[in-house]
Amino acid sequence: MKEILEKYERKSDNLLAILHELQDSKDEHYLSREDLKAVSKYLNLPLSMVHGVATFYSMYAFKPRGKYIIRVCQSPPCHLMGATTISKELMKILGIKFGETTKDKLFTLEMSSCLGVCGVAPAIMINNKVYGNLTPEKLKSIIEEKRREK
Amino acid sequence: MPKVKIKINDVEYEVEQGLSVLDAAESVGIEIPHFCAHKYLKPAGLCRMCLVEIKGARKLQTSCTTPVKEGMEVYTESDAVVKARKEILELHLANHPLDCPECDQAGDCLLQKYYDKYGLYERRFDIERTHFEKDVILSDNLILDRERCILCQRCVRFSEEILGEKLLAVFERGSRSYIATYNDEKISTLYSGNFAEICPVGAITDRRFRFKIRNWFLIKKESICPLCERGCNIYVETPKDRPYLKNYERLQRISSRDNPEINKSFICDRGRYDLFSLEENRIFKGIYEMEEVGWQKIKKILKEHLFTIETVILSSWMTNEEIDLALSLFKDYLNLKNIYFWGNPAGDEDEILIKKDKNPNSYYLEHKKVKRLNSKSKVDFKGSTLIFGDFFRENEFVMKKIEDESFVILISPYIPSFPEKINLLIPSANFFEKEGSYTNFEGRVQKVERIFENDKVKTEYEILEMIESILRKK
Repeated sequence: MKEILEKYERKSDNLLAILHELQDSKDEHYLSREDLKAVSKYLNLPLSMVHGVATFYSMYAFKPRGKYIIRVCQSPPCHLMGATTISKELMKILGIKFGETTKDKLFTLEMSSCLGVCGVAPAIMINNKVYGNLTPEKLKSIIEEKRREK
Repeated sequence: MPKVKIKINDVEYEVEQGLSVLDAAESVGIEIPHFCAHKYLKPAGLCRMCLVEIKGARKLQTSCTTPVKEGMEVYTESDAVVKARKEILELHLANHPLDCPECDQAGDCLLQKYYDKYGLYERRFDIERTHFEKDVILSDNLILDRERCILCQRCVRFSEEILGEKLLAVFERGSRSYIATYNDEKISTLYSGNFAEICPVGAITDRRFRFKIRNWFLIKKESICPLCERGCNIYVETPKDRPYLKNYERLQRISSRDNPEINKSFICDRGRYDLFSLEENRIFKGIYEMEEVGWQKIKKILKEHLFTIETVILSSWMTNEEIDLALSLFKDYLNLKNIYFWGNPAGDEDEILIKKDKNPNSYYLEHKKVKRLNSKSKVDFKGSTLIFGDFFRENEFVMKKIEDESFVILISPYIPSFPEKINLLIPSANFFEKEGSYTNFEGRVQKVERIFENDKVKTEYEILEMIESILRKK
């Protein structure tokens, strides 16, 4: 954690970037209380303010999440191309609802606004990689691949 | 300050340059409804309630963040403004629980006040209100109801701008946002009561005032806070004279009174809550050698002992007038050398309001060259001693110095802490029962009205007049 903090200048402008990097540095993809305290101390910002900023953005989480975060695009183009089917299929394969994490702490299912890849709708994003032109079969193989990778 | 000419509702006014439209309108007596704007906080433009029409501007403008300009034409009650106000109020109330019957703020609430004038009266939302926690304990004195909150952030800005530390913040976003402290930690500050007072609605309320009495049954009487030498301006709130309010305590609440030069509109928690202790441990009967005596007897005993008095200890809780009269009697008329004063011992101080000296009138006594008693001062108490005010519990060194043979007369509103030393106790009025003026640490003289009547006791001034009549007759 110290190494990440020290990469940045002690300026409040860096708050969001630091929070992102801290969150991504962990397998559980979340910000703990200790993280927030350390950031507030490092940047000399009130703890309440750091927490207020972090809760404002939905990309930060405060509870442990899975290793792979699956974001399903909810925008109209994806919807028209079958995002509903994809969502239902995902819920079936993983056995969880949106906002939940699988018991093996591998997958977290989240909704997302437009991923900007409407050309390959319907699309999902797993961590930082986008998967497009999805069908239920394709989805199954992607998830299985990820399970094998662990 | 340079002035600019502006037109408000087609009437021309001259107002100070640099003011916001909201403050400028207020300075000429025109009220623009607002929630988030506060006289002593920076404008935030959050609540949108203060929208006004400005000629030439494309849209309605928030008057709290718009500075006045020469030749500006403002309309505060035009059709567009009133329509916008109604709609904004409708949105503020979309999730408001409307639990006014059990809300302490009712009567003082800005939502109620503005809804009376700009209400829609018919709810157009058919969705359920969003729900939040209704009983978040913020500190020993404060409770937060997140459903009543309109997110004006006055509390957030107060802690940031006035206290200098951001104790509260808005968490989450949009319709889910709420006010909280990090990890629900309790607020610890000596100024916590101000959070309840600054809240324009009933979101943050005072736990010590909770469910005690309805707002509209209280009368606000002007006074100052005697608990330190700053002399903050306060309101003492007391129940109205109604038969059904007879059993209520006469002191219900202390709140701050605006004075831009002393305390702005804030007071510390000592003034707000500790002043209640002035009403405790009172004594209403004179006591002579452990027996109750009436005023006739007191006067007789005084006559016997007055001319043996050699030491006088004044109190720094006496008013300017009482000190003047006492000095003219004991210093100028009787030529006594041993005149001192005492008071609460010095305490902490900070840069916001709290001053070191914990008495209201030490400045005036020092100005009059009266010596302050402290544990190091070397005094010989000879003959009889006349002492004013005994509620300085930590000042026992004075009592210890007085020899047992000395005849001690104590003039005090409270039960003495060393009754065995006192020969005659004269009950006097407490701070709320006397009028006069006090001089604060910078030499500012402030008048205090008599707030409560009490026939059983006399003020120090009346007692001094009694002494004067005895002295001058001889």
